[in-house]
Amino acid sequence: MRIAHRLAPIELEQVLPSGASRTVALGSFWEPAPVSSDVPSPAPRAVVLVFLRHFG
Amino acid sequence: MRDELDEIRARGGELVIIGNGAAHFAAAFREDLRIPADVPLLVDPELRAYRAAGLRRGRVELLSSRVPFHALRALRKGFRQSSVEGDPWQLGGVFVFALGGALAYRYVSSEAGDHAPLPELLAAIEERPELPEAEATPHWQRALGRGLSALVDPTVVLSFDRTGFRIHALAFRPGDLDVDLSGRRCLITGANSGIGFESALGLAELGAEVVLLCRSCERGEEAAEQIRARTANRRVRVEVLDVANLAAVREVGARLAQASVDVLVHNAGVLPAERVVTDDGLEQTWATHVVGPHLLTRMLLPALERSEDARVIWVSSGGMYTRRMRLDDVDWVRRSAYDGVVAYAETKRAQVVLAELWAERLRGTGIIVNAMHPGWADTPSVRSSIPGFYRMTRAILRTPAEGADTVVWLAAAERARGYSGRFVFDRRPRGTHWLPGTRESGADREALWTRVEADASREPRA
Repeated sequence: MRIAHRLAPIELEQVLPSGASRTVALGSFWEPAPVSSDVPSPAPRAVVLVFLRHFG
Repeated sequence: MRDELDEIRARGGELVIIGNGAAHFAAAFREDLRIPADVPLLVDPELRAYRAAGLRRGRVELLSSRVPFHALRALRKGFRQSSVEGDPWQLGGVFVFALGGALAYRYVSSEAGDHAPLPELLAAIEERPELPEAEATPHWQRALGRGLSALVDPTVVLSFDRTGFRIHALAFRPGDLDVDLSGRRCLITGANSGIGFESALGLAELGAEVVLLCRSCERGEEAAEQIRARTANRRVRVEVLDVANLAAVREVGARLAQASVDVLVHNAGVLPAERVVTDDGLEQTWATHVVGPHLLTRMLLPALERSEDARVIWVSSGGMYTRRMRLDDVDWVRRSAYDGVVAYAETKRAQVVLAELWAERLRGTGIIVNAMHPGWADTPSVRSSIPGFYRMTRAILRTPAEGADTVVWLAAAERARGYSGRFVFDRRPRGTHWLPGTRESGADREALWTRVEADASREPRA
């Protein structure tokens, strides 16, 4: 949990396909979303976080 | 990774990609590699997440003999690399987290073109075991790091410079800084720039409460705001303190001693061009590097004793190797002319001896005391105080973060608790004397303690 704990609060810019961007905390990808009874959504089993050496 | 996406999703995994270039590079990357729109693509140009994940960065890793084979393999698969869009020295890695954050898999690239084996990755997604997060550096790599260090360390230049850091880092254990410092309180003097700032940033990234002790409230607040913004750690604040001002040290020290202190980093430094005398009648370098920190340590002893894991760190300098400790003229009244560089080196030598003396006196209390040196780092004080040295070495200087790495390690790593009274450089205890005539006697050491105790009890001149 320690690496997840260190990464979780880090906020990065997410580049959306539209070209716009938004800021997200890394932890939001693996912290379970609040359960909503009227909007069932299959949760992923795991999150694969890939750090690229560089774009290109 | 584009080819593997379907297999990852078939096993219930979701892919998140982070790159270290600018946002427009990310957009081009998505288009060129036809990354689906629902795969999050993030940019980290400041490498904050890369650092937090313990990923490697450096030229040595890019010079492996296997790199051409990785490039050939990529070409065979139809991947043609265009220009490097981001930090050219940064390496990547892959992590698999189960929901909730349990780490199921970690792959830290050790050279360019080195990728996580897909079967291992897919198995981790399916099984999601909780891995121990300790050892990630192969033994051969650590042995290589130690071997290369033995070759370059005697050259000094290739040890203190950025190459030295990267060679020494081959032997680091990345798990050492997988530490959660939540609930620990760290005080750092001179924390608004350079090594002090990076030390504060590193400790804040690990979750510690960090108090920046700075001469300037404005510069301190600017630094604190930067650290809060970069780490999302709100427990970063400023106390105004000039460690050369003994009355201020007593006042701030007494206040800070009300709560427990886990880490105290004596980092504040000066290198004046001319002899300056403080309000207490002390030469400024002696007051800033030696007397003030000594008094602050004494003031904070009750707070350090309340900690279950207290650590005091003196940020010295490799320059101390060039000088013998000299107590007969710390005020610089007997010598014909003041030399700031010599005063700096002599007081940095005194810091190392004083750290050893504190460690001896605190043995058995649970408080450990070490000194360290950061190597040659590109800091504002190096640029302004020794511009000639900076001009000669600017191309090979370490980053301030590389210089601060050992401070963070000494403050945070469990392994560092094994040392007290040592002089540490790049996470390894080192000898304290290289040159003939620089070794102090036992009497000199005791005289240092006596002198510093006397100076620390001075009152401001009327």
